[in-house]
Amino acid sequence: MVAGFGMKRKRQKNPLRRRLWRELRSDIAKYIAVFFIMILTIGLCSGYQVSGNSMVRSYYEGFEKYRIEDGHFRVRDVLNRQQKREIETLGVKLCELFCVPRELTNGTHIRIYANRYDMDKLCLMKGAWPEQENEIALDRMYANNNGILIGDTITTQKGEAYTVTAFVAFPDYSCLFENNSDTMFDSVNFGVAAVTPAAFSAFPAEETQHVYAWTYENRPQTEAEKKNAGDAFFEDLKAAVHVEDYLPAYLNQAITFTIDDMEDDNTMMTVLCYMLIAIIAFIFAVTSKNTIVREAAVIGTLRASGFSRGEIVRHYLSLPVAVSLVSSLVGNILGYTVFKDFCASMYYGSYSLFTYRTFWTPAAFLQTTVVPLLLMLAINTGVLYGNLRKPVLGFLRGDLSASRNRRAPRLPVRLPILSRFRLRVVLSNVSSVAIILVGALFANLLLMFGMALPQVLDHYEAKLPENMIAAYQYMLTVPLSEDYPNRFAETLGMLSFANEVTTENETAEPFSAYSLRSNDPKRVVEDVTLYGIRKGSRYVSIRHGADGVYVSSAFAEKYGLAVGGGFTLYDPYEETDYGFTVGGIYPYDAAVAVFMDQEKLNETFGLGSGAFVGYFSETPITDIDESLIGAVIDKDALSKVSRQLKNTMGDLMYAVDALAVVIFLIVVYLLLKLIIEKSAHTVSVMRILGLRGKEIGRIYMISLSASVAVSFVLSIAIDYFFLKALYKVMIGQMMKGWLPLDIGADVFVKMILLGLGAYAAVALLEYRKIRRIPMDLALKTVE
Amino acid sequence: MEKQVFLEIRGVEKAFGQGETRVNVLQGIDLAVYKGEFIVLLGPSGSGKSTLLNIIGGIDAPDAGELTVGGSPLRQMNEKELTEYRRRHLGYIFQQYNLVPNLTVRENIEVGAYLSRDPLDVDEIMEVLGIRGQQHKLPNQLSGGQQQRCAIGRAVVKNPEILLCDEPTGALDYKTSKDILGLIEKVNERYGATVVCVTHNDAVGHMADRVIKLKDGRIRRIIENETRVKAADLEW
Repeated sequence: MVAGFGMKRKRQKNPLRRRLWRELRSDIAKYIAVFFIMILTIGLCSGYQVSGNSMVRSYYEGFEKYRIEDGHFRVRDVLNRQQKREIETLGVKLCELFCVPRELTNGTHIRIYANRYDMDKLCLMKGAWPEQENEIALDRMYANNNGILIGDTITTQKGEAYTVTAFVAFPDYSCLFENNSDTMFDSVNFGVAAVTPAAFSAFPAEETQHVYAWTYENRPQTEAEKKNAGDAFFEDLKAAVHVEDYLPAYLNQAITFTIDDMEDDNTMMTVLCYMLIAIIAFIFAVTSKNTIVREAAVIGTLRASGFSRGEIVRHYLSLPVAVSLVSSLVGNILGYTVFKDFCASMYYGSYSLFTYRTFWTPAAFLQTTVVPLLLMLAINTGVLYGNLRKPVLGFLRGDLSASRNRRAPRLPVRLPILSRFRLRVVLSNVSSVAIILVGALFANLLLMFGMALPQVLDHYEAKLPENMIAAYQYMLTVPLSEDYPNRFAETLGMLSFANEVTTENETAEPFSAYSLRSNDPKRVVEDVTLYGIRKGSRYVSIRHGADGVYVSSAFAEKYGLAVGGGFTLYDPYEETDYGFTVGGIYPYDAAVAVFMDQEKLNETFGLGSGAFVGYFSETPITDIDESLIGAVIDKDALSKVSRQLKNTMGDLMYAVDALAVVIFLIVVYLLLKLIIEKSAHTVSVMRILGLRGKEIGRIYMISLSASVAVSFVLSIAIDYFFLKALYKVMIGQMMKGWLPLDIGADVFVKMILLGLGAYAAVALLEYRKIRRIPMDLALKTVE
Repeated sequence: MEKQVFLEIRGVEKAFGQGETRVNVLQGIDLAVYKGEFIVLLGPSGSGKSTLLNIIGGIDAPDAGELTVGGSPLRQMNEKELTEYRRRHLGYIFQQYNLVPNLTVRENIEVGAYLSRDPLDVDEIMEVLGIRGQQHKLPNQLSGGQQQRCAIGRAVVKNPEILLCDEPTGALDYKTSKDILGLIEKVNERYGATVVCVTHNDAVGHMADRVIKLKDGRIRRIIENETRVKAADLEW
């Protein structure tokens, strides 16, 4: 029977579908490049989000699982039962966390605890719990950094030897800060360890530090609640016992640093991911537009034949969407497998984290897959609809120019025609060059960050000797535990203490000091040392009669202070704010510090005339009892920050550099390819007219190379200023102290060489393509 | 005065495809073109006229036969020499104009001037072609006729010895076509260029010195016009 009018026929599939596979094959290089960049982006972002979110969630769960403390305090003597009971009536539960500090024969320091069973419980990462008195469990990170293996024996300077039976994670030391006032943690030179309670009881009582951890019965949730609870508990605690040290968990860097870092990184990675996706989306948009121009006649014919605009849009959307879908699927699989482990290993390489469980995170899926896909869809649909709005006749005639009224910018006729031709090539590809600029901005920011940070650390270390106030700064141990009845008695006590710490060292110069706390809500809270400098000091040269105080260059740079400006610091013990005026900036990058006249400082803080708390010295001081020396700040101590950051971020920076180069390569490749494709017809005409291959190559490559080079250098300049601003915010929010952003010219040279090298590789490929464009493109159909 | 042979075509053959799909587009073409002559290649679609034009232009190579221009055999030329040949001796006018879209009218013509050792004056050419007022416009701001004028300008400014025109009026209306043909005629008369023009419009043959009629890849007939009809007087 012949099918006729009125008879229903099976609906035929859209024949345009058959073109998709051919289109994919004919432009396979472009789709592979896009596929690769999307997998890399989505994989890294989802891997990071999944591992980060899982670790953050495990970390918070750890508060209950390992019963992480809400804070700890130190007292001189063991609390008796009555004192404990009295404190526990304040709504807390106490737990002994006694420890003994030891220096090992390898020169590093460890803090040895008894294994914990109640609070801050340890997480066994590898090996078996110590059972004998000569067995010890070591923090995994510290052991790794010092090449200690299970089964090895470690020996203290006092001759105690222990066999390492386990690697563990201390939940109250996820970040190995030896002192909370340290600018940076030091997992190379400082570690924590646990022995059996029996082994611990063998340590001499006078060497034991009596630390008590507490948890609140009703644990505060918000930061404000934690602060209020911490302040209130401190007030009550002070009334009950004499406290040598007090540290609520929310201020304890060993506990908060890791989680803050992970949460900050998460935000940064999300932004990074979206930036990458936006670049890819724009590449897709430009590619789609190019396809429309290339296929104008086909589109015109299809539209004239009755295909709707929607059908055409769907047709041209199919491939980008399919590629995006497949790459996000593969990216997610890789994210949850390979990249997750890679990202987690970066954290495990820096922090003493306990084990984590992988959680399926819908938010990560939404952020790394759904949003990018929607973004891609929206941008492509917008571009396609926008372009397909033009009349069918325009398509048939191949005339899709934006506006017939748009005038060509005049170029000086005196310029040789080839120069004008090159300029026209640039002008007609402004949008592509703009995307190259955006891509370069992004890639260079990563590259600069990756290359500059190691140099910042190197420069900091190299300049330390010239930056130091003195080769040695001795901070004396002020007898805090003395209970003075009033300020006058305290001053007298301080003076008598001063008499005990005199030295014969001729290079020694006493200074007084006082510690206040910064209270800028935009930055991390940090202790600021105020140095009292005596008149005629050989170490710190300041004008003593001047108004205001001197701030260290680190202080000025981090807080944006200038001479004449003011700042406020807070005394947490006196609960008083102190306002200062900047009278000068003292060149000292190693710490956020204030310098003022010694007498003025002593008077301001009631330390008594002539009081001092330390010495500056060119040579080691050997005639003061070691027990009276609290800390020695020398080159080694000051380089702790750079050492740790190098240890933590070294490999990561290379990965960032590689990522940056790959991104730049792909962006440049896709866009150059696009420009060349767009110009293929013109190149063909040029060849027929008699222009030599080299001439045509130069017309395009010189203009495009110049555009890329200008974009690249411009992006470096913009990135430099952006990084400077970003760096200030980052350091301000994440780190105590300061590291000057000192980028040498060699970084810029390396960046330019690397970027232009990547470009040259792509350009060479494309240059060959230009020379191979056939002449028959410009001719009418060959008979 | 004795006519001087400028372009000599001997036994040129060309085929496309292989096996069963093989099509012999040119099957032994012999032709001599004189210097300054206006030749029209006339024939239906598929007769091989455009292929012959492309072979003359050095864009395509014959499978057999010889083609000599000014005494130089094209077959012995390598890619570089063919480029030089096009650059120095040829002017090309296409049906679809093929202007560089991002160059202005003036700049498109200047590209032609750049390729020549002895170019004509760009302003004079624009004046002659009547497009001086459009010199700063981009091709997409011009009508079809204006674009073809610009393409003629680009070809003529080289002061070429041969002007190859491939269906130069194929995309234009009657009146504009006559204008354009008039310009080609002017170029032939004023600058002495040899013109080889491909068309399927019989009327155009009247303005030529000779009409070469092609069919199925062979020359079927050569018509010598005793007098050339002015382009303006052509009717079709």
